[in-house]
Amino acid sequence: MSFLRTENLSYIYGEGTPFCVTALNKVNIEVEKGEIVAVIGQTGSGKSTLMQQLNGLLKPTEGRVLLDGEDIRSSKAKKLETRFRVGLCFQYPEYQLFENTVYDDIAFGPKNMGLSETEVDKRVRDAAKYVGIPDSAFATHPFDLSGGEKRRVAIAGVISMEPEILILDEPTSGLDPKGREQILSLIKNYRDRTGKTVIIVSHSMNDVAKIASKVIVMYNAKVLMTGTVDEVFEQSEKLCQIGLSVPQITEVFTKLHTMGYPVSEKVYTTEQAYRELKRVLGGGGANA
Amino acid sequence: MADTILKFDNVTFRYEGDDAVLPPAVENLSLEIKKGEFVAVLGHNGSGKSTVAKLSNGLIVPESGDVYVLGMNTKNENDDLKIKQTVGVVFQNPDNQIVATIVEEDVAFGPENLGVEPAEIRRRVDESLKIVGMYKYRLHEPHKLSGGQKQRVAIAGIIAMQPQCIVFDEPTAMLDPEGRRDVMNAMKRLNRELGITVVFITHYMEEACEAERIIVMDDSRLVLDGTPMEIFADVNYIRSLGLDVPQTSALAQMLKDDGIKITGDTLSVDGLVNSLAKILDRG
Repeated sequence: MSFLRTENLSYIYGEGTPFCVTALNKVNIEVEKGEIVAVIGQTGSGKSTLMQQLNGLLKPTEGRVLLDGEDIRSSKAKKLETRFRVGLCFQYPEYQLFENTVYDDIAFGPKNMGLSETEVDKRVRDAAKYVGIPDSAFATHPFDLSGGEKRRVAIAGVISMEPEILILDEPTSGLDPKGREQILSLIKNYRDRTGKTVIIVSHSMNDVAKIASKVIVMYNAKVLMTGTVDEVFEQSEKLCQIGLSVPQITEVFTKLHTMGYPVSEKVYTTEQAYRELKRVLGGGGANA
Repeated sequence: MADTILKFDNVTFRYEGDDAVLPPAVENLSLEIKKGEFVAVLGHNGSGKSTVAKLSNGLIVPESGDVYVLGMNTKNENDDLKIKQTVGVVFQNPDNQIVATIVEEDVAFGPENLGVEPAEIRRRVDESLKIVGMYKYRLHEPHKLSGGQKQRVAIAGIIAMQPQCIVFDEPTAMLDPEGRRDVMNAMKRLNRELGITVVFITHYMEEACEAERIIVMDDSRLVLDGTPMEIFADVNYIRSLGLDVPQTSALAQMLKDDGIKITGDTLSVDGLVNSLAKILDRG
């Protein structure tokens, strides 16, 4: 049985009004422990709504969300427990920093969980370490940090609650390449060291190719595809039709493959491309 | 030099700090942009890109050196209105640039303030909204539009003032891929169809590659100036500046490092396909 799954989950915004919009339409997803799941899709495809369902922020119009096989809305206690077990970090989380110091902001979650002061302190320090914020920055006002640093503090504020499932809604959007790399490696690092589950919403196919173990493609309030990076990116035509694109290097290899060259189409990163070319060129003639 | 629209002559600028003297945001920058060009300014956060945007139409003036718009020095207050009519700036956050409650009124705000005749305003508003693909939203409320749509309304508001040059300061940074594509297309149309000079500031390498010329800023200085092919020829240098390189150029560099000879265009997808095909034929 899956760790987290949805059962015919539907959600309609503004139901009963002329402005009602179906954001989720009978969505079924499954997430296992320790996976890094990437949810991709165009704006308005229902990605963010789905994320807000997973920790019970929104109430389904129909269907259920099951954590460890139990409906997250089955009781008040279960609902509260879910909030701590499934940590959600919104898009542009740096706008949600509000305490006077970096330390207090990261400590806000664990404090509200009713943990002891020593435990809160330990969690703040651990979380800060994961996101690469040094102890020396603890007394700093969050507004004095750069955009990328603020975002990492905001993510630490969720990590400090040690959720079993960490959800990040577009964690790299608006960041420059350096900031983006930092966030991606911290996510991977966090999963590798804690074995916890991570779900990220992303627009960037390159990011997805780099870190995801499973990809869920949303289109028009429904799940269009689910699979490994290979399985999903293979269907590049279908992805293009719904306004998504495959990595540039995948296009190159798909074209070469179509032209009859003996290269694989399943190439998503430059490292894979390099290895594939070396394989095909083999020993002889490679250095012509 | 009649065809130069924007000229930076050894420009240095620093912002005022509370007490300490801040390092310059732009240092000894010299640069010329010709009429009709589509130029991208690329650099990571804090490299001085946005300061270039503000200097370009006199929103701020240099500490030393001069900025000329069609030969008019931005330090000369008498030319201020003419300079701002010549060079318009579109900023990053569309929410900060919308002033009216109806789309078409927002677009009319600029020309109204320039004292343009009402009939002419009507014509310009309609035309501007059509260029950015927002005409059918002319009677909508801006706050109900998506980020990309709002940004296109902001652009229409600038076009309606009929500037010869528009500087876009990271207009796509806060938008999703769809919004980014729409704004990119709007910029290209302005350049191609109306002949407006476009200076496009971004940290997205893929977007910069669509320009004819890329200027790279690092640490307040101009470090590279050339075509996308020239700029991304040195993958390692671009990376050292904290910038992304296209996957295509990165792969070409790995092969080169390995002693494999790769020639021709290695930047575009089709170019790289051809270059790799040659190698595979050889191998």
